[in-house]
Amino acid sequence: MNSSILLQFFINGIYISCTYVLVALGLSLIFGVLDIADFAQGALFMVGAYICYYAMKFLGVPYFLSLSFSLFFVAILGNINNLLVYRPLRGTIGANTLVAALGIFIIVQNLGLLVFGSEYTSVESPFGKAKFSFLHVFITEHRTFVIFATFFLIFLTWLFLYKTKWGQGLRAMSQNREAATLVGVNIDKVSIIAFGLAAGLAGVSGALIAPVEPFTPTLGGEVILKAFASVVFGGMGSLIGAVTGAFIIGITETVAVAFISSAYSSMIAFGLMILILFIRPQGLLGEKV
Amino acid sequence: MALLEIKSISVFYNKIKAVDNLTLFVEKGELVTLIGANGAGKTTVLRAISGLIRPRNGSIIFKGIDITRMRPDKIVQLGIAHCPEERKLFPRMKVKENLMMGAFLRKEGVGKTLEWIYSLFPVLKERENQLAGSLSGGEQQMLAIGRALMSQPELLMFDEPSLGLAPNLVKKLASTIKNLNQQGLSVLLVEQNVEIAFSISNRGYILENGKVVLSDSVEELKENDMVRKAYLGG
Ligand SMILES: Nc1ncnc2c1ncn2[C@@H]1O[C@H](COP(=O)(O)OP(=O)(O)OP(=O)(O)O)[C@@H](O)[C@H]1O
Ligand SMILES: [Mg+2]
Repeated sequence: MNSSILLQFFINGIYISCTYVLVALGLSLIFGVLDIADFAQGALFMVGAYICYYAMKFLGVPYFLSLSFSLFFVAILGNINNLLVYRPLRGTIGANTLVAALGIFIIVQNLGLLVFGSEYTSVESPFGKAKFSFLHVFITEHRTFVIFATFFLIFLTWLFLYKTKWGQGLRAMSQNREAATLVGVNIDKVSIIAFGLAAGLAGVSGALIAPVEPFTPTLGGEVILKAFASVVFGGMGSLIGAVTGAFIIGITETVAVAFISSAYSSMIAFGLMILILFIRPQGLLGEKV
Repeated sequence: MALLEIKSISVFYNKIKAVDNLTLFVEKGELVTLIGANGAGKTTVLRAISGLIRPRNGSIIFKGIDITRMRPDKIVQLGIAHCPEERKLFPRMKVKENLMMGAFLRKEGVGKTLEWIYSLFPVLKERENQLAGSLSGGEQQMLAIGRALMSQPELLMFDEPSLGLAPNLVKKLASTIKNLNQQGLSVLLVEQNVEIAFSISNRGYILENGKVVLSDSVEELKENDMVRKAYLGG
């Protein structure tokens, strides 16, 4: 086993992590502020991929611009979700929102099948099929773009949360809801921001990976499961935890798949998740933002 | 007209009546204390004033404005600050960030208020870059008070600020509250430490099972047999 193969696994792992780390970040954000495990984010990821496709096909928008279409429209969808479903359920028992979240996921996925059809859709990458190679390691230009764009979006999210007034308000709300309300942070505004940010990230993430492989409306299923495993692994509500969890799971998974079999890829994610729950029930980092 | 006027409010948690037909007022510049045993409804009264819970009936008037159904952030903007039970700091924010959160709705003069709070509690300045969760109990209480003051309130409500503090710190805290009051801040003080509350207050209300059973000047309350027996240890 030589080092360039290891490096190849590592880079593949980073890429795999990048397919769900933004959804994990959004899940964690919403959980931190509102205590909702919003599985619907997986379906929003899928919608993001389709918005990208349709914007390019029917509006003739170039790929890079269609990314912002996905971000914007899915951010709005996330808020519609909140207004129609989660807000009316506020104050009822947690199991209600959990069931509702799963319900939205399934409904949106089925609507997707109805509207978009069940055939495979493919989006053309502006990078074509070009590849980089260095030190005997190969990666397509598009995947490289996905990695850089994802890191950039994580950085922007961090900037927003730690360096802006409403970012601080959101963090305050997630650390102590009553105290945040008492200093004048409005929970409804924070919810709009949290859902907009989380769903926007999910949407753009779907659009980012859309050109990598042909997809169907069930695209979001595996993504949400792995994002959820990352969030639990890192500690519910901890943003750094969610990001760390996603990368640990993604890299472990790639390496394990290479040595054992690709059939075990999801099992690895959940195996790690259950393992950490035994060792550290609060998750790896275990604290909200 | 009083600064704060509560007219016969009742507050429920589902079917449990926590506050029962309560009437209370605070004049501008006054230091008023609200006394009662565990579960009497003191916290609920403050939460109703802050808009965290809606009274089922009655009204709450502040500076002549009906705030009974106003949003909490609007109530803060009108000039009411609430230093909550158990401090409720933002544990993973720095001391300074906690203070800045107190000024969330303000646009101007925040730096000046911050300087003033640092002069009031120099230890907060020393620890401004430390996480709030790492402070001692006394420092946390100072931070909670500082955060509440950052909104430049006209009325400051304290919910059992002495809880969990060593006796010498309780005395210091009481003189801080008295000082703020003498600088013109109106105060509504919820306490179970009756002696310390009486030592700095002008008037007091005694709350039992959500009802005001007695209200008078502190001098009169101190002489009242029932109060002496139930709250001052004979
Ligand atoms: N969230 C809640 N849900 C249901 N009942 C509540 C809730 N909060 C308080 N209560 C009930 O309302 C009543 C008044 O509670 P409250 O917290 O206002 O009392 P308190 O005087 O502040 O007591 P303490 O001195 O223990 O803080 C109590 O009977 C309490 O059990
Ligand atoms: Mg209380």
